[in-house]
Amino acid sequence: MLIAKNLTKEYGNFTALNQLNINVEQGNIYCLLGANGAGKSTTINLFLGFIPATKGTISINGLEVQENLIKTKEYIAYIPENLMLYPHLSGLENLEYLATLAQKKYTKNQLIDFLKEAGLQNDAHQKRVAQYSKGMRQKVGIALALAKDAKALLLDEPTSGLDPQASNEFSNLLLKLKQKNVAILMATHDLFRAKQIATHIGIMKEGVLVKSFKNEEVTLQELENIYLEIIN
Amino acid sequence: MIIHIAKKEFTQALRDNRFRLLAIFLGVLLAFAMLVSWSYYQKINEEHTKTSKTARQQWNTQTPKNPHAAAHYGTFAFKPIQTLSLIDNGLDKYLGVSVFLEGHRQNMAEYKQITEQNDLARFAELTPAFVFSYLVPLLIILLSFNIFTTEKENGTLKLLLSQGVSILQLSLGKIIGLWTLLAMVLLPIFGLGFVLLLASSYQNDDVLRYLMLIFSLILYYGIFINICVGVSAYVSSSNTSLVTLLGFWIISTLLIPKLTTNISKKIYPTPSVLDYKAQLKEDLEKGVDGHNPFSRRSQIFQDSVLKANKVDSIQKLLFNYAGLIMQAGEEHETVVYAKALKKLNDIYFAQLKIHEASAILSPTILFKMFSMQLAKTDLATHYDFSAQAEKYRVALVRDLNYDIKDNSKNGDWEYISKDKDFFKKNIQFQYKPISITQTLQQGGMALVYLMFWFLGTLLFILSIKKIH
Repeated sequence: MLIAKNLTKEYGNFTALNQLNINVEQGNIYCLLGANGAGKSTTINLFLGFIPATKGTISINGLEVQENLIKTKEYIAYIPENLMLYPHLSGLENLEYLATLAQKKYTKNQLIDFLKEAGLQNDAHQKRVAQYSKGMRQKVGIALALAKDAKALLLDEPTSGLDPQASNEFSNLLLKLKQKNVAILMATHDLFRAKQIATHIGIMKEGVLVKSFKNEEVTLQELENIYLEIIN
Repeated sequence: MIIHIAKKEFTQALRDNRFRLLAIFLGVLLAFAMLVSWSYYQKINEEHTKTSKTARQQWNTQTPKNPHAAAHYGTFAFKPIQTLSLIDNGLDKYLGVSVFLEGHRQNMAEYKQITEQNDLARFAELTPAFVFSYLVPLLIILLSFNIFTTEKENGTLKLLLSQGVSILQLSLGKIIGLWTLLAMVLLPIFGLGFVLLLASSYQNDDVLRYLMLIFSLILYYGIFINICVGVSAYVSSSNTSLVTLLGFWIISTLLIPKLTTNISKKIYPTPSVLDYKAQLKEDLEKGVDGHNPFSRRSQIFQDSVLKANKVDSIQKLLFNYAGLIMQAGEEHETVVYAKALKKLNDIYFAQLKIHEASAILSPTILFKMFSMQLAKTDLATHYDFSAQAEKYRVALVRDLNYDIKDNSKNGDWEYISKDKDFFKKNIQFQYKPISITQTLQQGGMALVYLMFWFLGTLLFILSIKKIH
């Protein structure tokens, strides 16, 4: 579903991403680990089509991203590190607006169902987002992914700054999406969450995917050791 | 999709206290300015009607006197206040409202309401035109400087783009949203203006002029909206956007108009009153003086009249020579004054040309120029009034002089017309206002340039392929 082949991104003399190869299939969760500046967010932005690749190819559901900027957006949902919605609109209105932009038409009740499925408590639906916590906003992001019926989900440090309970809730939501056959690519620092939910894990350093393996091949301790070894 | 974006912008702004406060403040200010302007218009209009009547009555009922003495007695021509001056009083306060008409000289308009005010007072005068041309663009800037930058700063832009929305759709949606907000503030004001217009003694083409004024405002605000949305898309922070847009506002509304006024005065200096009068005196002395038959030029004129009528003395003429020489003097003076005023007007128009040329750099000047032309409160309308008043003066004085020439005897300096209603029968001044066709011929280019500005800024929006 999400495929990068020999993907390279250069900014002048600086190589932000070097020869990246990944393939996230449907029903898989691929966690990209790495320190700041490792190239995780660059990878997400390349999949989103916000920046063009210098070399290599990148595709979503078989479509080259840069050649199909609008079409590829139909298949994906995106949740950034700090999902900021429109503070003067309610969670429901935000969802309705974003879903409409994604060409999805739903009744109010259907939208409420998505919010409920994403775990947003009922009394929050009509409240203005200005009063939402980060966790609540992330849930609206998940509701949007559900409303879009996204085949792939791109997440950029989604659990950073969340309390353990909210983080755990969020992980469970991702597992639900995994069960719905959604391909998930998540950039994160959180080794524990990665181990908890990933099917595949990749560790990046200075734009290079240094190591990539299946989750079941390592324990949390081993993951931590490998990570620290690569980072240092 | 564009409509949904517009709807969201509208809803979001409506729930924002800053917009509500600004909109209420501006709406009240505009309504207040319009009502004050209307009440001023009513007052001046009444005064004008009353004073015109009184002046004519004074002329009609003046004590019987020699017609040339009546020419010295003089009368007034009053410039009617234009109905649309309730929106834009333009240069009315600077150019005077009446001309004293008398024999031998062409006077300039008098009773300028603003003669002692400084530039700041002139700038800050609270009229609907001031609010329309200066403050509404400021509202647009305050409403929209961060229309894209906030989305960039908060990260919602990435979220929007990840839904498959194009930048053009976003830009157009935001533009329509801003227009809806602006319409909410301005439509009631336009409605109020229309009601006040109908409640005034409007002329047939005033409604059309008012609609054209609204059209030019739409172009003018469209330019600001396009620029605001474009700048907000191009720059990376709200601060940079605000500073850039306020800079544009200052340059367009304050700096360029002031700068070009100074430059035009430097290139085409206006002569001092003393120089103007000295030149006039010199030129007047070069021709026939109707009151001095013994001057060299009067003697030459007298010889030519005697020769043409094949007589050897003015007593043998079949008409009163005094009337003829006074009219000859009058005609010379008319030419001298016309030449002097033309020279002065040419300087003003040369200054105005520089101002007009600079208008290409400032949509505010373009709008102001076109708005004054539509309201008939511009310099060209004033000159049209002065020209009509002068034409009337020349015709009136000629009638008076010819009455002496044709109906009295030589040397009869005490001649008084036998017709008791002589003065009543003299022609009356009727100002014929500039037609809409004339206005468009004179000021149509300002509208065309405004359209170019609008299209140019729209192209600026269409050219945005990437949000920085």
